[in-house]
Amino acid sequence: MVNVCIKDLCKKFGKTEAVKDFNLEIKSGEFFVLLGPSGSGKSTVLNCIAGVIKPTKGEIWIGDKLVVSAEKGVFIPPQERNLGMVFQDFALYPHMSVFDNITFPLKVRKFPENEVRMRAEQIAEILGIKHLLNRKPGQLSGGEKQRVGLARALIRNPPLLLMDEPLSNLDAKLRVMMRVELKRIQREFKTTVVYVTHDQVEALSMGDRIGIMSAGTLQQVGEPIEIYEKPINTFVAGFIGSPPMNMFNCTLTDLERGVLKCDFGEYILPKSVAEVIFMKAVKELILGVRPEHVKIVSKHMPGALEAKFIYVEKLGRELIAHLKIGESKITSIISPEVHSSLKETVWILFDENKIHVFDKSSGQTIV
Amino acid sequence: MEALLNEIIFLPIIHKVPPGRNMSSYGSIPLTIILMVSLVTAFFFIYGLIGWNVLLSFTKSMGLITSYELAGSIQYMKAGSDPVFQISLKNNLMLIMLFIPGSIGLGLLLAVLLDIAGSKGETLYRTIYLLPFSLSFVITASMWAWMYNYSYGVVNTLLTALLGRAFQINWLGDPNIALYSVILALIWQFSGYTALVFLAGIKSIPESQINAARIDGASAFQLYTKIVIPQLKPWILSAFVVLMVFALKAFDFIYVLTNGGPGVSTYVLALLMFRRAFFETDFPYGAALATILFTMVISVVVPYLLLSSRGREK
Repeated sequence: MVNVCIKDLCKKFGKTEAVKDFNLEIKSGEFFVLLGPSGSGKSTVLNCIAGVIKPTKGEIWIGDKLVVSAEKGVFIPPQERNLGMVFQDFALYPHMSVFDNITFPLKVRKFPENEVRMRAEQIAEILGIKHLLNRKPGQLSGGEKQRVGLARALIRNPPLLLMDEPLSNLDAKLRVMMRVELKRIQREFKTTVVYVTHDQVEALSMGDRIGIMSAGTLQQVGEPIEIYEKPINTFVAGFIGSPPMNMFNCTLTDLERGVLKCDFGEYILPKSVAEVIFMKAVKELILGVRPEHVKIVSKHMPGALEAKFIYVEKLGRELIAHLKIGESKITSIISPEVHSSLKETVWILFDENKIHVFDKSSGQTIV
Repeated sequence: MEALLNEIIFLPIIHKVPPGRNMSSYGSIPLTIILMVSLVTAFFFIYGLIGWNVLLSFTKSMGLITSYELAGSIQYMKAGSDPVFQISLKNNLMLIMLFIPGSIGLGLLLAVLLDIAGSKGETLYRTIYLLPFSLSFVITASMWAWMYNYSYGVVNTLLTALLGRAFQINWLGDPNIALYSVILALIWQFSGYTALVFLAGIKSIPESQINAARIDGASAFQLYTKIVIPQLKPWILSAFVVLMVFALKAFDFIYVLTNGGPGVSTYVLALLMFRRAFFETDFPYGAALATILFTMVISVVVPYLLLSSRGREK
């Protein structure tokens, strides 16, 4: 187990800045997930840690070893960084058998023959690929290839394991299985993991901590629950959660009472929220509320807004209701029982303790 | 044979008919006519004439007088007792043994160097290396003839400047050296082509594999010897077949550079066939030599085509 420390990392490809001013400390033994949409620079960060890309600026420490520093002219090649990496396309060597694939890291380091064999059998046992050792990668299924890739990355028992979207090429069922499997393996091998993905479910379910990236910058770092409940800005709020958070443009019309004029009509903020906004004196706001905090009732109640069903996605255990309030659209998660008791026109209420308010100009969270 | 060669050179390109295209939408009658005409023409001029050539080699024809009375394998016996045939055959084998490994080896080396050099000036290098192959053999052979010239050639001038007069070599005039001079020039002509074939092969290996190998601890040397070059096998095989066919049918380059000389020291089968048929007007013997050559080429090409079509079906 090692920690990884990234300081002021920048990477430019020609004129495009893939990563800028990236600072991050990954703790020893942590399962850290870098989450972001495609093109957000998360893989670039990972490749900089691996050493297959040289950063334009900044430095990276793995444990107490400085592996790269653009300023000090330090660059330790990937061969000497003592880490393992798992790739989205598995990156198995197609001309070698599974045995030769997973023992490649040992063979290039001239490990004695009997140790190579022993370690290969050990790792194959753990990953359940013992029966595949003589096959070629072309004869394996996606899930088997993934295990072979993992075995190859782990055979040297590296203190740091990097994973670049390792589950993206697997089918949905296998992906859920492998999520549990990967966590188990991490605990068994006691290795620090840096895991890159664009799938928020993977991030929330596996990460000890998550770092969210957008357009080359790190937006927020925190534990899954913290990121979900306290998103730092509109990007994080909109990116995490499925279906995404409902957001409405609003103008504060009555500062003292906290009255918002939104696209769908008026909304009066709860007192505690109104006070904070009063202090900040921001007028243009974005009101955010997660679908599970939108309550649907059949009768008018004080503070409730009239809404109409547009469409209901039936997911079995729960339903996602798409509704129209005024000119805006809103989603809500409801149970099938509630849905069956409703007519076309309904009233909705926001859970007052769970609403989010963002500054419209900066996108930063106020409450 | 030229057409066959072209087919092999461009073999890695797999042609696919766009789905949903119905051929009959082009009008089936004119299409059938065009296809039939070209098919008949192709069959007559390629396979018909090959057949006629084979037939001729087994007849009692003499010189320019054609007769269709069969005479068995007299012409083939003639080849067995023709000393120049043995020299030519030996020279063809020398080409296979030296020119093919030379071109493949140098091509691999160049491809790896080009890959290491990366994208910097890649187009420039590619143009430079492919240029020899795009030039006519007659032109490059004349150029090499000047370069190899004993008294005035640039090669000997350089040798003299570097090592002194004693190291001048009679490149094309010495019967013991001339064949090697030819092979050297041919390697130059072909290695740019093989380099580009291999470079395309290297580029087809996913980058993640290269990264994986580096992270796994492979040195640059191990990366190429253990990961990259083993995966070039199909590309090496395809280049090997092209070079093999060339080594068997080599004619124009040698005809211009040495014309078989000095004496008969650089004769090859194609040159012998041309000489016997058109200079000594011994057509039946020429036809027999052509048939021998044809059999040799076919025995290389057909297994390759079978192998690659089986690979494509997989």
